[in-house]
Amino acid sequence: MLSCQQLSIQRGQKCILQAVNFTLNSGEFVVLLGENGAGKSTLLSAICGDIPFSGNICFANKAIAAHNEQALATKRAVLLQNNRVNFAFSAAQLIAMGRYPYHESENEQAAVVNTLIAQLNLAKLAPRDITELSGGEFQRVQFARCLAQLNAHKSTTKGKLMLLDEPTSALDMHHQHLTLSKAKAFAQQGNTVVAVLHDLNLTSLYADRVLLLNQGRLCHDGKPQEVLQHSVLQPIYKTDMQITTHPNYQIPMIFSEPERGVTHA
Amino acid sequence: MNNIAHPLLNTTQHIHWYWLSAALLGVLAWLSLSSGAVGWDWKMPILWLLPESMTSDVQPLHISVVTQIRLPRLVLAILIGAVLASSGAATQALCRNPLADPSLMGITGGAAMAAVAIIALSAKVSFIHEAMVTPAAFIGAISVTALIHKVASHQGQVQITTLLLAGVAINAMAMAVIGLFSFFADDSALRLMTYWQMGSLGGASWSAMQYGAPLIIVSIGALFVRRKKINALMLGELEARHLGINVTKLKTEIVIIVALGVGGAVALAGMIGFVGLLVPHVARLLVGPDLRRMLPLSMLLGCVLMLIADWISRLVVAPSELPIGIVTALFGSPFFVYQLLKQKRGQHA
Repeated sequence: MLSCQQLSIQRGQKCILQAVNFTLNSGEFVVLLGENGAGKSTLLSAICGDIPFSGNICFANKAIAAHNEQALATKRAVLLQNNRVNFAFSAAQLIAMGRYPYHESENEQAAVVNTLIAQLNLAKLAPRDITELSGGEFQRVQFARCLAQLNAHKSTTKGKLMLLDEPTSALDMHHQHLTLSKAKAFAQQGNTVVAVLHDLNLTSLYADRVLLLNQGRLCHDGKPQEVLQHSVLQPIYKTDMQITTHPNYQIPMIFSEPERGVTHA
Repeated sequence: MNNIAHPLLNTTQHIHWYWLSAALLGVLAWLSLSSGAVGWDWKMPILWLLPESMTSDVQPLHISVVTQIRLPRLVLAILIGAVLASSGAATQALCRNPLADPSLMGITGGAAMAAVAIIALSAKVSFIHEAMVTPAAFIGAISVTALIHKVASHQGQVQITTLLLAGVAINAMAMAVIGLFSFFADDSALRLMTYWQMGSLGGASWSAMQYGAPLIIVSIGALFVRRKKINALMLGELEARHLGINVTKLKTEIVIIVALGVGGAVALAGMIGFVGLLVPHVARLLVGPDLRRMLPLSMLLGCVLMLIADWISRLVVAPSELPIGIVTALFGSPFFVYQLLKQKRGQHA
């Protein structure tokens, strides 16, 4: 589905990604983990073809650069971090922009948008001006736009790739779960979702596979139970933590501890 | 799910604004054809429709005033109004900021600088001819648009402060060059240059229009067919790219479209500022930022604004006339300050 071979990215003197190799399959919800500056967003940008890289990135058995841009847009959608828009489009119009790659009538477009608005509980936001939305509200609307771009309102859609750069960074707990459940369900239909997350517990709850980056290298690639271990995480995050098991799901739950010297009542 | 268009996506929802502005444009066009220095006569625009008994009092001179002076002036006002408004909307999409404007960014200044240089040199250098004014204005406009966009954009983001500061610098440069040429110019060239600097529809004639008008029409048409793509560009360069748009190509096309429009407008009527800022803003308030709705309304409102400004410029100091650029700047600059304040408040909210 998506494979990276010997992917390296150099920016000036600094090596941001170094010989990264992995192959992702359809049906997988993959979480990219790593400390700040580990190269997670850069990896996503490379997969999008936004920045030059050395090595190979193949999507659907074809080099990513060899895809026709318009055809690729119906197969791959990207949610970027904190990008604000200066024009007062309504949230519904923004979601409808995801339909740009499809040549369809206004009614067909509206039907897709309406379905997604209902699926994602966006009815209240739909008529609002996007320049006035909060960060979290805007993030939810952008996520809906990505789903519209990939025909995600249909349960038969397969073979698509969705890249999400911190999709839950501004969301409350309810909407974190709503967003990730939707993304996970989309992956389970036979698509691939790659999400950058910082929340290790959400990773544990949703990921089928975790890629852990450390200083530009892919240091771990495996199931959440394999990667979310004290011996793996502690050296990277340099934070004291305790790992227990979720009472209902038998998956790792991570409790981090404050820096030494900080006492809690 | 239901198949009824979401009210917010329905493009026919705001249709009354088009009818209203079209009607206003009609009334203003009528006014502008029937009134002028030789007098007022409501019959003038429909003279050829009326029975002979009603037109017997009309003098042939009056008729030729209408066909040779008022009508070209009306057509020019409509072309300039439409193209300045559409170029404004295009520039704002290119910079992804509603504060961008061809006159503030120095595009108009660049075009005028090139035009003035040609006028001044045509009197002294034999191979430079006044017919070169229009291409020169286009080249001036395209160089400034490309330069300014290059200076102000960084990794796909356009910094509005850098953009406006670069505009200040280029406008100052344009004024200096125009000043330099006027210093050495003879009297007739000097008058032409003053007219260029302040903007005027007074030079309207069918023969003058043959150079600039095609540029303007091409600019409007080219922008119109790209309105859906440009909508996506307003989300951001990367977002547009991820939607399958060749962003580098689209940006180059917008630069050319803006330069054609502004170059053509400056060649025909000199520097007329703020229309590109004011009109798209009003259109956005009425129908939202979607170019599929906003662009046609902007063009209509641009024509309306030009006709009102032209009417004021002819009225206040009649029988002489005020350069129209003065009128639009008097309206536009306070509005720009208000917009700056509003955007500043928005950033702190």
